Amino acid sequence: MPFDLMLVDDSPVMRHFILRVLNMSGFDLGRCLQASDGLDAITQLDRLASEEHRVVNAVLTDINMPRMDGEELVKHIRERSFMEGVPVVVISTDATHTRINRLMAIGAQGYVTKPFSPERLRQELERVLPAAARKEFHDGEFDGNNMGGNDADSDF
Amino acid sequence: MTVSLTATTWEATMQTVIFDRKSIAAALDSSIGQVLETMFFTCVSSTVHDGDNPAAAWVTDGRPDRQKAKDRFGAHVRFSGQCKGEFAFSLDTASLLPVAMDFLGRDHPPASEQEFGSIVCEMGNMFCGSLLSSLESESVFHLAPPCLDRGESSFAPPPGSLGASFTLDPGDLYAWIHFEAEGN
Repeated sequence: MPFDLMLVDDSPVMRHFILRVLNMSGFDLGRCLQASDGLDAITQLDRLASEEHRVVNAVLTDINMPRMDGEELVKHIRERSFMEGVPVVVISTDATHTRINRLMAIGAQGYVTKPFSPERLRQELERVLPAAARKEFHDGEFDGNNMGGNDADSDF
Repeated sequence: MTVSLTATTWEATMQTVIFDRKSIAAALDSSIGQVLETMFFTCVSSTVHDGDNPAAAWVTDGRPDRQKAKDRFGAHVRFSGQCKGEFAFSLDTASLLPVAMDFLGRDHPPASEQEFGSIVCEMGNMFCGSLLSSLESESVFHLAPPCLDRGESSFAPPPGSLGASFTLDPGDLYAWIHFEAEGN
């Protein structure tokens, strides 16, 4: 079953790279929504839920971004009931224990430090995704499937 | 030489962080090597540390050599947290082109100078973040957005910096890090 992701990073080249390594790793990627910061991500996730009654299977996010950073994004996601059970994986150069523990404490489920190999990213997604893949919304409206094709290269 | 630094007000706790030059040099080597190999699919074939004379290879008569600097791309990143300072690097255009193409997974060069610049800034962010994390895993650092350098500024490390040249295939990369003393 292909997994739909929300990828959040203020760098278009980094988003391109992450999508490339996901494809290289053999990860079963469905549709990938892209956002340039936390605010953009929340806006798109809210719209997806309200207009299309859908939700992504996981969110991949950077930490340092303008307008709304990765920590704020995690908090906003955890406040939304429709995002309950959707894992957030943080991708960052910051490998300090303090930062990782802080993000896990506010609701991130995964953490990948740069530099990372394609295998490392896939393994972390596969580690957190089973919970999301099993998720079913109470009224059955959200199934997380068939959100469209992989628009990995849409920014380029 | 030992670099002794005290936390700024960014962190509530006051804690002294001490890095010796040997640790910094080892962290610089491993961070640059890992980032290049894992994210840019490029290997470092050899490394030469500056010793007590940072950027000596880039300086002529006490000033950065503009001729050597003109065909290079680079970036610098300011950091703060448990300690503060600056990291910078540069690489020649001959190295940047294959590195950028490998990063993007394309068989043609980046479409614009802006795209080159974004890749260079990402490199700077990853080099600096990886270096600081490997030096001090119990702290949180804040990295300012990387600033792109074209020209000589990447070759003018402040006194007390630690720098190294890395041989790539083709070309080379030069990087340095400088920690500011307490109160600066």
